[in-house]
Amino acid sequence: MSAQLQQEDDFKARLDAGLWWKIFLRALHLKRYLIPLAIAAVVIAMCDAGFALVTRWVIDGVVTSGGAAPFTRYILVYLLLTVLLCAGIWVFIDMAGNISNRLAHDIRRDCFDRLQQLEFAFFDTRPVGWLITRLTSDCDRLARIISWGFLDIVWGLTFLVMIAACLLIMNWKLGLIVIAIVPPLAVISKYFQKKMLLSARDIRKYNSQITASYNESIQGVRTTKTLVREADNLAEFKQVSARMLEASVLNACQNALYYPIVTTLGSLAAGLALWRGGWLTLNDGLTLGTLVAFVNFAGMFFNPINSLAQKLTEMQGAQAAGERVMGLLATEPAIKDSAAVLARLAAYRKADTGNRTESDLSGIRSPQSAIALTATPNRSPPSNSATSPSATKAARWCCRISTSPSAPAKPSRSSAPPAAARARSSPSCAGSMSRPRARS
Amino acid sequence: MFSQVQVIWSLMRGHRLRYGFALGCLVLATVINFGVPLIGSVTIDYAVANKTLDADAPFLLALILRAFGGAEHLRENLWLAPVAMVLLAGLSGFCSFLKGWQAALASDGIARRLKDELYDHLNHLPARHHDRADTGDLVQRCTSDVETTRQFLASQVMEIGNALFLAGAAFPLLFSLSVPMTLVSFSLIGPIVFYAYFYFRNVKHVFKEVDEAEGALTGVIQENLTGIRVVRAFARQDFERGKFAVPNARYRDRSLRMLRLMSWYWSISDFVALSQIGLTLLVGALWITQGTFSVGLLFAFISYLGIMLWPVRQMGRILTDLGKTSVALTRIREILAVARDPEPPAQPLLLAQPISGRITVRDLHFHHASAGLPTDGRGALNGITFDLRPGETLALLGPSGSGKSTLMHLLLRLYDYTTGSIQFDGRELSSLPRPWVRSQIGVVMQEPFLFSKSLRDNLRLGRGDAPDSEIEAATRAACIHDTILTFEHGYNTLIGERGITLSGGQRQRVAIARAILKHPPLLILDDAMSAIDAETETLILGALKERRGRATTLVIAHRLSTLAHADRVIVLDHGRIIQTGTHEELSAQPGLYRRLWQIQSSVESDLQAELGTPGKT
Ligand SMILES: Nc1ncnc2c1ncn2[C@@H]1O[C@H](COP(=O)(O)OP(=O)(O)OP(=O)(O)O)[C@@H](O)[C@H]1O
Ligand SMILES: [Mg+2]
Repeated sequence: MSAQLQQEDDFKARLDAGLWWKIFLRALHLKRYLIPLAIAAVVIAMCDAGFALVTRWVIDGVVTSGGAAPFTRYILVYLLLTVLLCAGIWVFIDMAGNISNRLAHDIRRDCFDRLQQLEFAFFDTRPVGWLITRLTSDCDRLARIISWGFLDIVWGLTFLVMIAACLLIMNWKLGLIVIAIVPPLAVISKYFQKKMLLSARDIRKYNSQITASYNESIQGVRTTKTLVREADNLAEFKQVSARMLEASVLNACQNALYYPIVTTLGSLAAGLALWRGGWLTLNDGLTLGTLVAFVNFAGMFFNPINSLAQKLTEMQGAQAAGERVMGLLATEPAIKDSAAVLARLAAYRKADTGNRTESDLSGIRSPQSAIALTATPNRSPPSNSATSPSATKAARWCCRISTSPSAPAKPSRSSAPPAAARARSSPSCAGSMSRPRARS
Repeated sequence: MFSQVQVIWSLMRGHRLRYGFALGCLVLATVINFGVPLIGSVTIDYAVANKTLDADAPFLLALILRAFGGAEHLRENLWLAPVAMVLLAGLSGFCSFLKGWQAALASDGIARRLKDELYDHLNHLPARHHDRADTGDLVQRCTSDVETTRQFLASQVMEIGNALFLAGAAFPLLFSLSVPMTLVSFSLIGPIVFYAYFYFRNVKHVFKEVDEAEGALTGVIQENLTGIRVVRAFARQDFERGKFAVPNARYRDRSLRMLRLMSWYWSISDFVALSQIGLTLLVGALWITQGTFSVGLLFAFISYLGIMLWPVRQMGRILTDLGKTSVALTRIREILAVARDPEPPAQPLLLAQPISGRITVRDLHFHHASAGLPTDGRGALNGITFDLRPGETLALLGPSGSGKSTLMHLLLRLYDYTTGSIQFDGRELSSLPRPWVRSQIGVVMQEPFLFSKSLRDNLRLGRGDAPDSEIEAATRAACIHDTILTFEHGYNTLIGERGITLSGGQRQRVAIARAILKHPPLLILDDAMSAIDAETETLILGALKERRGRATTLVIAHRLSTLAHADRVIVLDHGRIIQTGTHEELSAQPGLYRRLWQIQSSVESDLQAELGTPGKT
């Protein structure tokens, strides 16, 4: 099965910008989705920042003017922001979904076309399972990275700039203190994202070994019995399942360590804001609303940084997949029909379509279909969902609840919506004090 | 429902304490985390905004302020607040780390135990159960259903426990801060949970359709690539392109439909969540102007919403997923509920030495359970009687479906016979332990199965301690040694998915070597040389004869050359013995054996003539 053949790629230390640019270029013809997506990302980032500013405005308003505060205006502005944000979310999910699925569809189609042209020798050296993986999971993965990654990167960068700008404009000295939290946050995020990606891969690897073991033990059950191998088989299986357990616990621990660390860092930033900001409020006329806004903003850094780190890591992890797919598309058939032959073929086919019907092809194909059918356990092999660090997250994020146990990839630990959706969590609360939305 | 809870409870055996600990840590983490906004609140209100602590101020706030040494002290030592916040956040984070770690140990441990149990159980199920089983479905149950259960144990149990705790403990805490504000802040929580729950329940089928479309697409790709040579040979690329375009587009369109649903879900759900925060902010602001509320409290409540809204929004999904877990558990238990092969008590003293190879079969009947009730009184075997003397080579011959393999399966105790008797050295087979019986027999099945290990490991399956020299002797006898040496990695060559694919004849020869390496007192070859040319076959049979010593051999074969090697031949038809005798005797009698002999030894024209009048017995 493809899952068994799925090879795990090297983790690329360097991001090959040229490669990703080439893949991105393929999405350029989807401009009518790409442009709204970029706009939605910017709008969402601005709204996210806007909520904190509104909170500041409201608090300062009621503290200074009391009952005379313009409540109708507050309601209207808040409502406007909410509607804008929700519209932005609607647009980004829809647009990113369109890009992701259309791009996957197109890349897959091009790969398929190319495979139909390549000579036999190409297939001699590549197992069918390997090629299937290229056309299914690799295509989906690249398309997801391009679409959701584009969204998260645009959103993340915009949001970071917005937060920083708001902080510096409100009070540049205090702003600088709070922004100092960004570099350690970025380093830690990148470090953990990489660790988690690698352990998730291990989980996937062992999981497909386990699936293969089950398959084999069922198919070879008579042989096992006649050789009295039951106990030895179990011992061998236990080795794999033990490794799986280890990798799975390791991944869970990395998750369990990462989020508390960054949350604590967020609290540190919020605390710094409270301390210096409180002092400024007491001695230097900083308004109460600004103080609250500072504390809020300080807690907001985590989400964009986390999603940027995650997307970059994901791209590093998928780079080999990208190389393979682009490599396949760039493979030229070594033997090409000359123009004359092509013309004759076309003429022949034209004349031929009349008497060769689909049924004779199905006749030709039936033996292979039988092969194909017996070769596949009738449901697609499960991939450990615990794992797919975010490939699955992106597109199928929110929540695939397929009742059928056949879901090929059920994101579980990663069943959170994309960062952008996650982040504008608490527009005006101290995000730092809340747990990061990406609970796992 | 209750029985499912019991099932889960019994699954947790051995890990319950750990679970309790994890849940405790989670609760602790939540409680401590609740303290962080309170510190911010107290600092803002009493240290910065110079509010005075009234007598009727919330008890908790007074407590915290006292811990800071009073408003005045806090104002002068403002750094106390961030230190306390970081300490609390760190402590809460530590608890949540402990929770994540322990919960993973417990849930992954349970999942692993379940997987091992399933694996072992599958290996011990009676062969007749495997006749009916669908491999794909079984694997699915062992992997993705176990994974569903693991996820449930790892996160859902925790989330539900946490939610119950929040409902039970957090609300009183919030009420103590401000009753009206708690009511306002959580007024929309109910609708959010219900919305999520019903939404996910209703869109389930859409997810399923996407899965199916993906499966169909993979199927088409697999079919095309498996038969790519045929496609090319018949110049059917255009047709194939068209055939591929349909599922490719369907997968895209269905995914898009799912995403459209998702975009509605998240934008509406976010709208409600944001409205909840907005409501809190504006009502709080209004109350501040009326003097009944404070900025610090408003800050705290909005922070709490931030903490609680996400888990609440997840709750709808978790509740919908419970159904999935229950289905998965049922499917897993269906496998475990099938009884294993019963094992008679071992008789170590009797069984110490190998059998001599004397086998007596009397009036043996057998009928495959999965074949339904026997029609017109006929099962696979209908009254077989014969003897096998130690050291003898007996050949079995008969048309396809006459029961040869079935007889062999009965000797191996893969199935249990219903009437009649089989005796090994005078002991009834059904009273002998299966593993022991099988250890006495070396068998090459009609379709030999090799595991995806190295060739050497495959050969050693029957005897793990066999030295390389013996392995080589066995492979030489089976005429496969030289072939193995031509492989790049020789005996270390991997076979199967990750390695090379052996031809049918190669597989048969490896299986023969594997069987003889075991040095069994009884050797059974079920059509084991059907894919091997006659010349090699003669070589192998000769080698076997030399090696065999006193091993009793049962050969199922159709080739005359093989049959001629046997001491005696039995001809089976429709589960009955129709002829017995030596090769010479049988070829002198009219009947199936002679016809076969004639077919194989006569010239082509005779063959044609013979084929023209089939079915005569
Ligand atoms: N697992 C099974 N379940 C139900 N019926 C079976 C099963 N295996 C065999 N049979 C039936 O039992 C009868 C005897 O089958 P068996 O495999 O013993 O034939 P055979 O003599 O080995 O034939 P061949 O030469 O083709 O291998 C056949 O009618 C077959 O349909
Ligand atoms: Mg047979």
